[in-house]
Amino acid sequence: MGCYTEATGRFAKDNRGLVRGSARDRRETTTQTRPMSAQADIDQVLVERAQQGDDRAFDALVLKYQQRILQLVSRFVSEGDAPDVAQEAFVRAWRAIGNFRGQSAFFTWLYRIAINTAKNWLVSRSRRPASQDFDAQEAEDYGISEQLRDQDTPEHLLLSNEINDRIAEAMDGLPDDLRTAITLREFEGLSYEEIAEAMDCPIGTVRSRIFRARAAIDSHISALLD
Amino acid sequence: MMNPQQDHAERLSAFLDGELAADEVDALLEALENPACRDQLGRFASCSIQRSNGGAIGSRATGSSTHCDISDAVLADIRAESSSGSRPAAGGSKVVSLVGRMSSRLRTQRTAAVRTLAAAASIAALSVMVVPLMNTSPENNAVSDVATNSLGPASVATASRPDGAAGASASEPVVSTVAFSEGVVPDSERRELVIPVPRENIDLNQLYLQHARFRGGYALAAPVSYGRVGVKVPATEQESR
Repeated sequence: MGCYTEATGRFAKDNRGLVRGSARDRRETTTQTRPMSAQADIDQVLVERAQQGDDRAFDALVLKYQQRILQLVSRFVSEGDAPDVAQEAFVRAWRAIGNFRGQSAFFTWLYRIAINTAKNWLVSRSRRPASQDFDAQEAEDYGISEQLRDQDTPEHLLLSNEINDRIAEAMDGLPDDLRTAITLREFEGLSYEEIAEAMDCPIGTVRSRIFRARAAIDSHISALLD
Repeated sequence: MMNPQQDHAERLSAFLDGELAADEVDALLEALENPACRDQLGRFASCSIQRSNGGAIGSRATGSSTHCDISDAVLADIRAESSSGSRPAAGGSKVVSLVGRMSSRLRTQRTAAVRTLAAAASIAALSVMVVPLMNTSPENNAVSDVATNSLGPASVATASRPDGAAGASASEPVVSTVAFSEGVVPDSERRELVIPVPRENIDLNQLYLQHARFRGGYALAAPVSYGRVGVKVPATEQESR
């Protein structure tokens, strides 16, 4: 198991060359090392189109963030309700898209909507008093999530472990350049520009390598995901 | 040199990372018209989450699979909203009509009181009377026509209301009716549910949606559709005016 080293701002690697650490540490590192401007640019373009009524642009944002929103709301509501709640959150975001001013990242704004939607859902189900407010950090704190919902079933844990093993297996089978690119992107949270600098190659090459790594991993685990 | 399909797929990967150039947006949206590309983007995103979390919660997003796609349902909902309009009030009736999923013209005021009322209404709904739709009596000022727009395996009828009608005023007695249907069903099989609501200015639409979701006996699987809800004035209160 790796550990986060403050001196270098990087994670140590485990014996499989994979970088691990707590999700919170990775998120904090991601925020520190990864420039948000590129992410914000493409999202902002899509948001502006959506504000003009282009539902395909909003659909692209849904496709991009739906898994993260599902993951977020599943900490508050049951697995069976999570898709409904996530869907409601996106529809509310669509209704309010005209009010988005771009002062924060689109996902931050969407994140708040999703939390509020989950809160309302719980209140209406009388699962939690209306007076208790969820802190946004609660949704990210794995420890709290255990109090909010039932534990994973053994079947889910087994499936998750199996997927992890398949992913690790797929990554081990990647050529070094692809594995390095996807690792720097997924675990270190570096931008394409930073990866290009680290690997001494053009940004286009980084983009291609990351895609090829993802495609290879996807084909390796596709049977489990379907 | 990559083929167009591979080019699209690479574009999806870059989009997921927020590294797509602005001038590629049109090509991205074109690619996402293809269901296979949509699926691929979803799988990329699922794998990314799985890796970033060390797999701790990869399976928690959905039941037995790590990949749940709600995008089609969301797109259907927002397109339905965009194409829908509100219905005028029926003559002689005290009607508060709401757009089922709320049009962009409506603004929802979230207060603690609203949430509490909504929760109370959900509990109160257990004691409501179920009235066959065909037996609605004229003296009860039947609601504006009830229609169901089925967008999925199950649907619920909610109300449409004109602009500015933020909800029942404190002095107006209101009884709402919601017609439910499961999937595409004949009118004769649809049932009308009478829900007593507080006499306060509340967000009736959210009340209906919440009630609709938790109404026992009706399988409201995603996507929750919309229809029409009218408001009935109880006959006794009408006479007292």
